[in-house]
Amino acid sequence: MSATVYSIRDSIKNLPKNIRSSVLRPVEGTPEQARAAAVFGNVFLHIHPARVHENSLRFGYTLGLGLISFYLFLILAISGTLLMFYYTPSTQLAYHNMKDLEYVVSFGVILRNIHRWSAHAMVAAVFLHMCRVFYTGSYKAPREFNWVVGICLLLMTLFLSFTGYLLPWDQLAFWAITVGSNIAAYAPWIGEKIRFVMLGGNEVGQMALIRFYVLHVALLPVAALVLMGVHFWRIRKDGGLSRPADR
Amino acid sequence: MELNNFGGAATMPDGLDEGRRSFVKKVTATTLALGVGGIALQTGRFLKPNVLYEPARAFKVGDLSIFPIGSRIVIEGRGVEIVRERDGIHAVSLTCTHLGCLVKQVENDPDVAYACPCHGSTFAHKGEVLGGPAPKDLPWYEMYMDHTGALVVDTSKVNRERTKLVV
Repeated sequence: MSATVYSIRDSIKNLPKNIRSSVLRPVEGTPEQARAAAVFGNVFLHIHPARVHENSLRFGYTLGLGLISFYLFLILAISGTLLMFYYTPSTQLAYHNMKDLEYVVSFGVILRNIHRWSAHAMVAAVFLHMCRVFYTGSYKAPREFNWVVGICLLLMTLFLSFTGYLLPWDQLAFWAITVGSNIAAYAPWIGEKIRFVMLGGNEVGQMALIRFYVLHVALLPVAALVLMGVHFWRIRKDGGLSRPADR
Repeated sequence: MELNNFGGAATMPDGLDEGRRSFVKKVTATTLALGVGGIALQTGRFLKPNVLYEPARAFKVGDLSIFPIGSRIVIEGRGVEIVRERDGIHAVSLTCTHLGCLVKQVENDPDVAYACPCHGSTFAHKGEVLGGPAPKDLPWYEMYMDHTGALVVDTSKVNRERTKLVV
């Protein structure tokens, strides 16, 4: 193409086509090859295999629960990032910020409720996904390590849920974290120390709020994303989605 | 000896440098372990605060005159109840020994004095567990009178003998 000399008129005429082909990188070949290339040539789709077994696509077998969990995570990441524009992790401001989101900010109440309900739904979806994996025996070799990664992802989901619970700084939040941190304090030998470091003090206060905030918006989501990457990669490496035997 | 493009030996006689190689490996591994371990220890220590901006554990609750004989007065925000009886005065913790919720006083019950709203533990008038998941009695805290005549409660010290301050 570089050898071709275009007139300015032709360049302008071919611009849309050139842009599209620079992004999509079309592959010459049979229609089947072109379709496969469209999948593995796309950064967002390439985690999928170019070919899947018919039985892997049976919705009734997986119920799409893993993907639902992932999509809920995406919804939570986007809505949570937007909420951060109006939220300050301070004991003086946090509750009022939350009320402002409900009553003053345009569409704030929708955003907050999307975040809240998606969080509840994600815990449920992850739990149901684990049930599906268990009842279909998909945790067995060679997928046993991916089950362990999945357990870590379950823990990330629960920690995200727990740390997010404190952020509205209302009575429910305060007492839930008081109770939760005291449960951690029951761990033998180091329980009291865990509680002290978790709260950054002896009681649920400003130090606890900022610690939970940093965990909620930075450390835990990044850890969850890394684990998800490993989880999805292992699905492929362990032989694709488990599937019922051929009939 | 044959030399490659970079001037080094392309093939090494077997076993000649194993001693040096394992030494370099050990030094590298040790340095890495010390570095990473040090950073882990520092980070752990960093996360443990040295200064707390929390209310002091020992605090004044007021003069004796505001606690008449027979009264049970809750000090708001401190989780402590001051009980004055004929033979002395003592401070009962209102923090449930189960999971740290504030227990609430129960009125008009001869046996139960406190009930926890979270998980239903109940306590008698001196703080003894009557029922529910609480593993221990409500503790009594040390109490004393300072030089100005004000009563002071120290929640960092538990009064294990459950002695009353005679006033």
